[in-house]
Amino acid sequence: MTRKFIKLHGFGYLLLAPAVIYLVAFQFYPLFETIRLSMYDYSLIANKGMSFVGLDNYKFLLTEDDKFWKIMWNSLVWVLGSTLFQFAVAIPAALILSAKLRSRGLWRGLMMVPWVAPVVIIGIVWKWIYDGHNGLANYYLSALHIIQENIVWLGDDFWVWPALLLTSVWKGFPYIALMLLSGLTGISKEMIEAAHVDGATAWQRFTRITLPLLKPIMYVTGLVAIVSSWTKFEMIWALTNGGPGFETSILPTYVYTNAFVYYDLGKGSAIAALSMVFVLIIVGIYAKLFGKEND
Amino acid sequence: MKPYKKSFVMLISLTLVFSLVLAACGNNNAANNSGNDKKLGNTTDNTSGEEIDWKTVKADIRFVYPGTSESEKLFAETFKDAMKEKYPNVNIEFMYLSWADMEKKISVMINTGDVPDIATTQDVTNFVQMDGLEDLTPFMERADSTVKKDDFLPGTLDYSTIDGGTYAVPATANAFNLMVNEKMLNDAGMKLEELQTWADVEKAAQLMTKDGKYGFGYPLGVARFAFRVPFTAGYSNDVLISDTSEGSKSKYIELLTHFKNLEAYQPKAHLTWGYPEMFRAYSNGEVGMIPAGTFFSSNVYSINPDIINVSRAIPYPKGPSGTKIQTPVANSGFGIYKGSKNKEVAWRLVQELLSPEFNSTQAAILNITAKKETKLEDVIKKAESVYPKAIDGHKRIIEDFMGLVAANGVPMDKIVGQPEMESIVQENMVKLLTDKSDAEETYAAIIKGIDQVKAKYAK
Repeated sequence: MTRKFIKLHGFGYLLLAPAVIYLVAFQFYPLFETIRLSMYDYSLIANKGMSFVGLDNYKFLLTEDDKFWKIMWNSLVWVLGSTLFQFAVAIPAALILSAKLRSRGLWRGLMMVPWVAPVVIIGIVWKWIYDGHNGLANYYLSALHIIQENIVWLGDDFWVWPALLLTSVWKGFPYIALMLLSGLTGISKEMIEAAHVDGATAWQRFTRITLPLLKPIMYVTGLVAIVSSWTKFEMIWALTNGGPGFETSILPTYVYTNAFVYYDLGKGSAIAALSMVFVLIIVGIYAKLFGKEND
Repeated sequence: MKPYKKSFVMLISLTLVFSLVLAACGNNNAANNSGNDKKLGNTTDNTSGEEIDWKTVKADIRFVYPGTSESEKLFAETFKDAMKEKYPNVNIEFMYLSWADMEKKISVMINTGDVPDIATTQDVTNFVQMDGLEDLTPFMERADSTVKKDDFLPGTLDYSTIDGGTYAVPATANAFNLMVNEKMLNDAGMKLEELQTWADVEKAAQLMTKDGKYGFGYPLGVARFAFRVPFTAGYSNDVLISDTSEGSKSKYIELLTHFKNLEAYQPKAHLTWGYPEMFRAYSNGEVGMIPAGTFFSSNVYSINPDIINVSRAIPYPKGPSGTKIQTPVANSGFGIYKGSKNKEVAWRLVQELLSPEFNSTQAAILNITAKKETKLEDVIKKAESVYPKAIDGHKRIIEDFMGLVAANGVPMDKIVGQPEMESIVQENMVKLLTDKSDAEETYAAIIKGIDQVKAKYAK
């Protein structure tokens, strides 16, 4: 490396260095370490040390573990359900909050409350709401004569996933609504007014103008929502601990249980690596389906 | 960019780079405290013969303390202040964590070599498996030690002993039992003395279940407690929940059937309960009997102190195949982490913790001391300031616990791989109690799962 090169480019590399060091130390190194550990039989409490087992952990999870595919399915329900329902709530919310409303700033601020509140606290609050014995949900539904007897929301096969998804939607939709709001402000009012003058109905204006123009921002926001839902471990942990048993576990809770409850770091790392592969596949499919038109 | 501006930006960038590098290198607390044991003699063999002037000894002690109730925190701070006076250069830093969080955090710390000094312990099995705790036997065998193996109530030290090594010294005895709301029981037409068998428990639960109140509360929502309840009851039917032998099958199925029989007398919500929900329901008089332990008073007092005055502690009654009523007894105590650089100071503090002064305070909070020399009257006297609104009831509960430990106490079994077994038991108990499987199927599924866990940990 010559002095001239350093003089020409040294300062640029120096500016890049903190970010590069950060990425290497806190992103790439843990990633490679996770993959390395996944190829070992490494339990902290088995008193056997570490032994290289190649792909055995993966083989066990994919072919012998009777819980893995059920948990994988739960993860898909959690991610796709959260993302779709968050959009379903966020789109009308964004449209309402972009309209001329009295105290619009205040409403926009209030909408953000669930999003800025800590996940664990939200989880505890919703756990109280869903309490099958003294919960608010049962109290109001009984008072309105909608239910005759209490529902154990988080312990009932039928209700547990709707309850979890409702909480996830409540927590996550403000972010999507905020992104869509920023998209809506970029849409020309003249174009909407012109369509109105041309006789387009409100539905037509929404489906033919607003929605297509929102697509790029919806694409990016959807991507973020998928990835953040996939890793949203705390919400399920606070509400159900992933149980009973593994009934409401998703892959991140399964990683946690194996690595930090059972202290099986080898298997935990293998689940984490598989989880990463699956989320990449989902993101790839998403990009294939929706990415092209947004290029 | 002007040269001076460029230099300034370069300086900032360099500072950032070095900060990151230094941050990545981390701060090994052990390194900061290095040398205390060297100054004070060998870790486990302080044979230098030199008199130590403890006023001059310097150390920063990290003390992992999972007591998160107000009374437990007050105890910790009082101890810290007293030690500061006695050992001016010893700084104690308490790390307040819940039991569950503590296990995870410490396991990571042990494996990264950044270990604290003093551990508050219950089940030491996992930490011993991780080679994280110091064997305290050599410390206790020293001539000048104020803590000796013979100081403890029968059975309590056994819980901290593995393969001849003692990895924690017990401060309090933890017995697991059945708590009964005596008033609800009497109102239902039964006396406490009538609760002798599982059939009696089922009958009492049935009679107490009326007018929106329930007879029994089994917290199934958290794997640890879902496991602990049948584990406790099993002792009185001569069956250990991890026993997968064919010989124990009928006793095991009796155990499962007992909980199936109780299901009709529990609020449906118990499927999602942990201890907080169970204690809340019991404290509010919504549930008449709960499986709990010596930690009962500290958990219910802040919700409803009056409940203590109507509560009685009894051992879990005898199962159909049980030869006698048995109560598993564990302990809560203190250990020293193997990687600590301040073992001598840590041992000194552990001895202070087990002195009658501090041990009686801790027992006042957690009900039963594990030390013979701590006097019951001292414990009760101190409990008056901890539980002022329910002191009569609390005294009676302490006497109940003392009695049941003396008459029915047996050392609680330590099970390697228990966390994995807990999930298996929870999953299958839920299936059993929600009519998705019968007792035979539940038994088969639990045994299969437990055998797999055992195989994994077989040496």
